Amino acid sequence: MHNQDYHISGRAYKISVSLICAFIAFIYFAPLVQAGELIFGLDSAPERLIPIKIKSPQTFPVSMQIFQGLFDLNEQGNVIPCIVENWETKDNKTWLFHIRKGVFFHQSPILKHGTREVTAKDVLHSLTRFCAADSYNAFLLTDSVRGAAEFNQGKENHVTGLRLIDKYSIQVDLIRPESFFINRLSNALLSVFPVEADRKEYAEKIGFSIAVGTGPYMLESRTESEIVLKKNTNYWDKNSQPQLDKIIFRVIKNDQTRFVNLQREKIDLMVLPNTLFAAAFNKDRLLKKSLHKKYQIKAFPTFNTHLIGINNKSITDVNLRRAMFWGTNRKEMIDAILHGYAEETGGPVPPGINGYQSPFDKKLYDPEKAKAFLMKSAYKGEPLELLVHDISNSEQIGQIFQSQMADIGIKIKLTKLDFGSVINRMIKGDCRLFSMFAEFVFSSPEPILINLFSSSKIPVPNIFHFSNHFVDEMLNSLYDIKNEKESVKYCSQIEAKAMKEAPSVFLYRQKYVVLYPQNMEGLEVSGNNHYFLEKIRIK
Amino acid sequence: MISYLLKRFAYYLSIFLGIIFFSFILFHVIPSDPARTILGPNAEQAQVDQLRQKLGLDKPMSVQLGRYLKNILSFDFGHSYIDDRNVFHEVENRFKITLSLIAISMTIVFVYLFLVILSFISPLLQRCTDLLDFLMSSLPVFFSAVIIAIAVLYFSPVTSFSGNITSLNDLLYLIPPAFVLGLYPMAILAGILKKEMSSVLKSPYITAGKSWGFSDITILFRYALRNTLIPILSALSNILPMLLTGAFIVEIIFSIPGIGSILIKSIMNQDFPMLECTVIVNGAFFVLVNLAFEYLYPLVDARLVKERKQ
Repeated sequence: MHNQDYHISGRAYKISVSLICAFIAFIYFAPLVQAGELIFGLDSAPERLIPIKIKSPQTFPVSMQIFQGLFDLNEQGNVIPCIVENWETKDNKTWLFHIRKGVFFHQSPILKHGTREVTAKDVLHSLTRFCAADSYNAFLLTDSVRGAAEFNQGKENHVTGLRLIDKYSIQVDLIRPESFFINRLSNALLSVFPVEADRKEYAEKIGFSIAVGTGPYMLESRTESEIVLKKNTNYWDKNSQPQLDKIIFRVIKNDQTRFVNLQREKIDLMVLPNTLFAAAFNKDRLLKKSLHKKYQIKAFPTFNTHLIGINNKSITDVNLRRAMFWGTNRKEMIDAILHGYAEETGGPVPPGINGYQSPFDKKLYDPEKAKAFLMKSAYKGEPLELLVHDISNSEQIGQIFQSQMADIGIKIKLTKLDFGSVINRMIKGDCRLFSMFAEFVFSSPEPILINLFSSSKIPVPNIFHFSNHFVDEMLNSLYDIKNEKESVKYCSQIEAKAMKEAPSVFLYRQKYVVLYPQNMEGLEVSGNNHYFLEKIRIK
Repeated sequence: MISYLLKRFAYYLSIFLGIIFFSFILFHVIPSDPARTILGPNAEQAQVDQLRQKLGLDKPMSVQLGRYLKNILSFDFGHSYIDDRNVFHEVENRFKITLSLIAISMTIVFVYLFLVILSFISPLLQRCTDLLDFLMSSLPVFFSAVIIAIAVLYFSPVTSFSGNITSLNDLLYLIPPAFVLGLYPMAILAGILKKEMSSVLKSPYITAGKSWGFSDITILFRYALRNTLIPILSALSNILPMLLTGAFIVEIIFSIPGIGSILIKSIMNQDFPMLECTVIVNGAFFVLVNLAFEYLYPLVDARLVKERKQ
C-alpha cells in the first residue's frame, strides 16, 4: 500500500504554528514564582489541620505556621512564652497563666466579626478539648492535669483541674507537682484555637478549608497537592513580623522529582531525604559543587530518636540485653544510612534539652564488653526475631543490626511487616525485638523518662515492658523536686540507672538536612520541627 | 436479545454484591486494631477501648456487616478513621481526577492506534510503531514515569497540579502522566490491532474492494477496521478497570491525588472505611465498564445479535 498525499493549506499551517508558539510562550513567560513567595516541597500531604487530631511531625512545618500554643521552643531548645505572657506557681502543682493581651485570631468567617482577641476562655476550651476522648493527644495531659483522665474516660463533663480566673487568666491544677510542666506545654501539639472552631456547622470544613489560629501565617487555600498560607498582617509579635507574603507547601511525593523540582527552581526549600544524600553530597559530606553555587544546607538535630526496642518481658536475660547494647556500632549505622547526619545516643533523652547532661560517654560501642556479657548470659544461639517495617529506614537499621549482632554471636531473624502491625504487636508484647523510632514531644527529660521507664506506663508509652522497682522509685521522687535544674540533673542519674539494665538499644537522634537557596537568610528550625518561616528574608 | 442482556446484568450485579461482601470480610479479618491506628501508639489502652466501642468494632461481625450494608444502601460509607473526612465525598473527588487521567490516557491510546492503522500504508511508520511497541511493553511503568516526570520539569511549561481540575493548566499537567499510564495499553492494543488487521487485510473481500478501486484509506477505515474491533474492545474492557487502580504508581510519581494513591494510603493507614469505599467504587467501575461493553459488542458486530438470539 502507498501513502496518500495530504495537503494543509500554507495559510492554515502558519496560523496553527503561530497560535501554538504564542500559547507556549504565554505559559513559559507567565511568572511562576512571584516575589515574596516561598515554595516548600513536602514529601507527603499534611494531616487535617485540627489541633487535637494532629499527630504526625510531618504536619508541623505547616501547622506551626498557623497554630501557636501557650509556650514554644526556640532553635536552641529553650522554652519561650507564646500566647502566655507570664505565669506564677508556688508549689509546682497550681499554675496560674496570664494570657498575652492583643493576640488576635486569624481573619475567618467562623468568627462573628471576622476576628477577635484570644481570651482565657479559648485557652480553657482548647486545653479541655485536648483532654477529650476524640483527641489524639490526650496523653499529653491526662497523667498530669487533675481531672483530665476522668474527663477523657467520660466520668466527668469538664476537667476539674482547669479553671477560668478572669478574661486573661487561667489556673491549672496538677495531680502532682511538676517542675517541668511548662516543658510539657511547650510541645508542638498543644495549641490554642477558637471556641467557634468546634461548631457542628463547620465540622466538614475545619482542617481543610478552614484553620484558625494565631500564627504568623494564615490558611488561604488547601487541596491535596498544595496548601497556600498568606501573611497574617495582624500578627501579635511586633518583633517577628512575617516577611514573606505567601508560603506555598507543595506535595511532591517522589524524592527524585522533588529534588529536580528544587534544581529547576520550581520549589525553594526541601528536607533532603537520606535516599538523596549520595546525589547531593560529595565524599567529604559537603554539598556538591553544582548545588553549592545555588543552595545552602542547614542540618538541625531533631527529637526523632531511632532504636532497637527490646521486649523486656520476653528477653528477661539482662546480660543478653547488655550484649546487644554494647555490640551495636551506632556510628557505622549513621554513616551507612545517613552519611553522618545524626548523633549517637545511649539513652532516650536527647542531650542538651533543658540543659540536660547525658550520662553516657562517647564510647558506646565495645564488642569485647558485648562478648563478655554474652558469655555471662544464658543465650544458647537461638535466633531472635526482629520486627522491621517500611518507614524511616527501619529495614536498613535491622539489616545492619543483624550483621553487627552476628559478629558478636547473636543470631537475628528479620521479619518485615507494615508499620501498623509492628505497632500492634509491639504494644501487645507479641514480639522480642522491634526496629522503631520515637518523636519525643517533650522538651525536658522528666516526662520522657517517666513515660518510657515507669512500670505504670506499660504497655504504652513504656513499649519495652520494662519494670524496675528502683527506677520506679527514682521516677516518683522526681515529682518532689522543686528546683527545675536539680530535677534535670537527677534525670541523668535515672537514665544511667535505667540504661544499666539495657531495656532497649537506643541508636541515634536524626538530623534533618534542609536545602534552600543561597539568597535566603534567617532560616531557624527548632528540634520539634518548627520552621520559623516568618524570620526568612530574601537577600 | 433483551433476556440475554438482562442475564448479563444479573451476572454483573451478583459480582458487585460479592465485591461489597468480600471487601467487608477481608478488611475485618485482618489482625489489626483500627482504634489503635486512629489514636496512635501514645494513646492509653482505656482510650483505645473506648474508641473501639464507639466505632462499634467490639460488636459481632454479623452486626457490623448488617449495619454496614444498611449504610451503603444510603451511600453512607462513613468517615475516615484517619482524619474523619466524609469517605464518599473524598472518593468521589479522587475518582473524578483519576477518571480524567484515564480519559486523557485513552485519547492518547486512540491517537496512537490511529497511527498504527496508518502504518499499514506507510512502511516507515510501521517500523516506528514496531520499535515503540517494543519499548512500551518492555519499560517498567515506574522507570518510564520517573523519566517522563523529570523531562516534564525540564521541558514542560506546566509543572504543578493544583489538586483539582479547575484550570487548563491542570488538564495540561495531566497529559504526561496520562501518556505514561497509556504506555502499556498502547503496546497491548497495538499488538492485537496489527495481528487482526494483517489477517483481515488478507481476506477475499478486501481483495475485491481493491479491485473495485477503493482507496487504501477507505479500505482500512471503512472495511477492515470494523472487523478488527471485537478483540480490541474485549481487551479494552479488561484494561480500563485495571487502569483505575493501576494508576497509583503514576499518581505517586506525578503527585496526583487520585483514586490509586488513596487506595495505597488507606492500606498503609488501615483506614478501612476509605479502603472499603475505594474498593467498592473500583468494583462498580469494573462492572459498569464490562456491562457497557456487553451492550457495545452487538453494535460493532451484527453477527453477535443473531448468535445471542439463538
